[in-house]
Amino acid sequence: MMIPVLFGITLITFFVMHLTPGSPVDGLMMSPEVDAGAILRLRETYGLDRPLHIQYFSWLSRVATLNFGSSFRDGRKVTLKIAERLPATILLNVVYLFLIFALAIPIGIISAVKHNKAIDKILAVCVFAGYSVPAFVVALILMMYFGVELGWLPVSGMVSINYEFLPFWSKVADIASHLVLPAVSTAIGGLAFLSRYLRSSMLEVIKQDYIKAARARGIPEKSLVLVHTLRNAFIPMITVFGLLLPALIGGSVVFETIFSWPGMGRLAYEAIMARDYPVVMGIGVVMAVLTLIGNFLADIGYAAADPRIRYE
Amino acid sequence: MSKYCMSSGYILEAEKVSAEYFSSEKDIPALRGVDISLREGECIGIAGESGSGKSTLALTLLQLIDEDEGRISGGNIVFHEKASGEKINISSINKSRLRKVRGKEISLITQDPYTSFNPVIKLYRHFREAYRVHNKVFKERDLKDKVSELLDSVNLRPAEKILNSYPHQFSGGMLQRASMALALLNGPRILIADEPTSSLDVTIQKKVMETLKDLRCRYNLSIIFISHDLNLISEIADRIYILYAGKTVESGPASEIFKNPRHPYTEALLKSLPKLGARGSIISIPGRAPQPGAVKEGCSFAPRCSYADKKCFKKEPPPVLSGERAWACFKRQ
Repeated sequence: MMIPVLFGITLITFFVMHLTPGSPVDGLMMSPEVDAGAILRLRETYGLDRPLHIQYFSWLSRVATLNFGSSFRDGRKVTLKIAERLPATILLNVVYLFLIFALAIPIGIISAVKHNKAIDKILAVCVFAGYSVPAFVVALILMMYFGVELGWLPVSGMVSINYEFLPFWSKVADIASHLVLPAVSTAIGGLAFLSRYLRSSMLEVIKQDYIKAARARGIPEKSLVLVHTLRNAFIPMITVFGLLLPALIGGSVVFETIFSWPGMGRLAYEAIMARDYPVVMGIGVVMAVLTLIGNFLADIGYAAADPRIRYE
Repeated sequence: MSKYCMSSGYILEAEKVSAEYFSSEKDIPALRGVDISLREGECIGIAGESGSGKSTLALTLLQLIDEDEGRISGGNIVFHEKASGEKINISSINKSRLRKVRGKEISLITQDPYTSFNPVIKLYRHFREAYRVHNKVFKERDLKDKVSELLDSVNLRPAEKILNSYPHQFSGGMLQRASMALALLNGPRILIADEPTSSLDVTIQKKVMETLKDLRCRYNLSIIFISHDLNLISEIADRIYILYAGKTVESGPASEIFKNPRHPYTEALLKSLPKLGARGSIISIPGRAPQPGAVKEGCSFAPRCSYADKKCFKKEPPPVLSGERAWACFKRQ
């Protein structure tokens, strides 16, 4: 099931990319020093003159041997370019994930336990405000306030200029301070979705008869909520988690660009703008694989969380 | 009197208990002033059609009506604690005191055993959790022994394997017996059984009933047995309460009620019981039980009653008392 899906994703990426106006050699055409013959030769070298389907299959046959080709822009291997960008993205997203769950779970629990009371409504307004304001606006406001006005936090990049010369722990602190703004501004947008989802999921479970039965055995409300309800309410959250995994990399195109974060997202943005086909396709494959891994992890998570669907 | 040894002291007395459920228009009364009493070691049967308020009564006794869904609007439920001889008013004690009654003094088993267990937790954790709530300090070994003994008394063996399984791995009958063992873990004196066999096959029903009777003797339980099935009630109950539209229409010793029903509703119910070997169609009561909230003035059974006259539609009949029996009907004074 995974192979056809992977195949389909690359096919769509490939044709969408080629349907976009412009080509990798456009920039050169503007230059008075490059004549038409040179451009033709360039197109030939990269195989851009051949029919699209031929181009796709030749790309596919190379990818089958794990050869993703080299960037049109600087001639470096696509795999290398992705590999050097991946750690930054993963770091940002792990922090983001941790942050969003650390905030959304308590908010979801409080809203569910106190549903329709004042605190639930206040939290709802807060998380929806974060959700409704476009994320890049939130990012810019945070940058303006904490980065410029207060000057507490750096607003771009992952490390400071003097990073190389810092002792180990200062390096960690340096990266951490660079992480705060991108991670917080990403988390604000996702908070509403996750916390409201958990709230409704918990309200669904709280109504179940086994909660009433546990209450009839004298189990205190605290364990009813934290043990019985939460555990069951988390089962549908696993799907969300699986879906989040690839969306994080996709979503980070915007944030990595705003914060000049040296990750995959920014690489994708730069590659798309330059019509750097091999890099775009390489990132497409990585995303596709991540999507599939996300789904697979969700399936495993389901089996771990819910004994009823374990394969015997 | 019962064949079981019992003292005549009351263990639970509920008077004028009323409960209602919220709805968008107005509150719907499910119980309209029900009195019940339970003696030590006794088994009372609560009979009624669906909508008569019998399950609400079970929930009310343990204050389990969801505060979003409804409320207990009146009455007193008094529990006589054995150790202290103290009378506890369940309807007015605080939450932590109430938790000490739930499961420890009064236990509940429900209709569908699959809904009394958390589906993602193994059986042993259910037992352990319930035990820990009422026993702050305990030895794991003692708990295991106790649980094994209980499982043994409901014919579930081997304990080790049972406890290591998830609820969905059991059949309904097995799980219902496990839920009985769980209900008895903390040595309650009262067991409320709300339609404990209704979701089970008839053959399994029989086994569960046997288990229940056996447990009653072994642990000297007082039982409130709720069912729509008069045959089942007759098997176990010493006294019976017949509920109709949220009120008790007749109560008294089981044998007397079965022999000589006084209220027309009880009479009609007994007539409609199919008899073994009898020919012809089953007699049914004309009309339908009123929806909770749709009860009008007068006797709530009047629209379906073959004896009813004008008076019955105007005034609510007061209960007629005669020894241990009581019924509410103008026509049977």
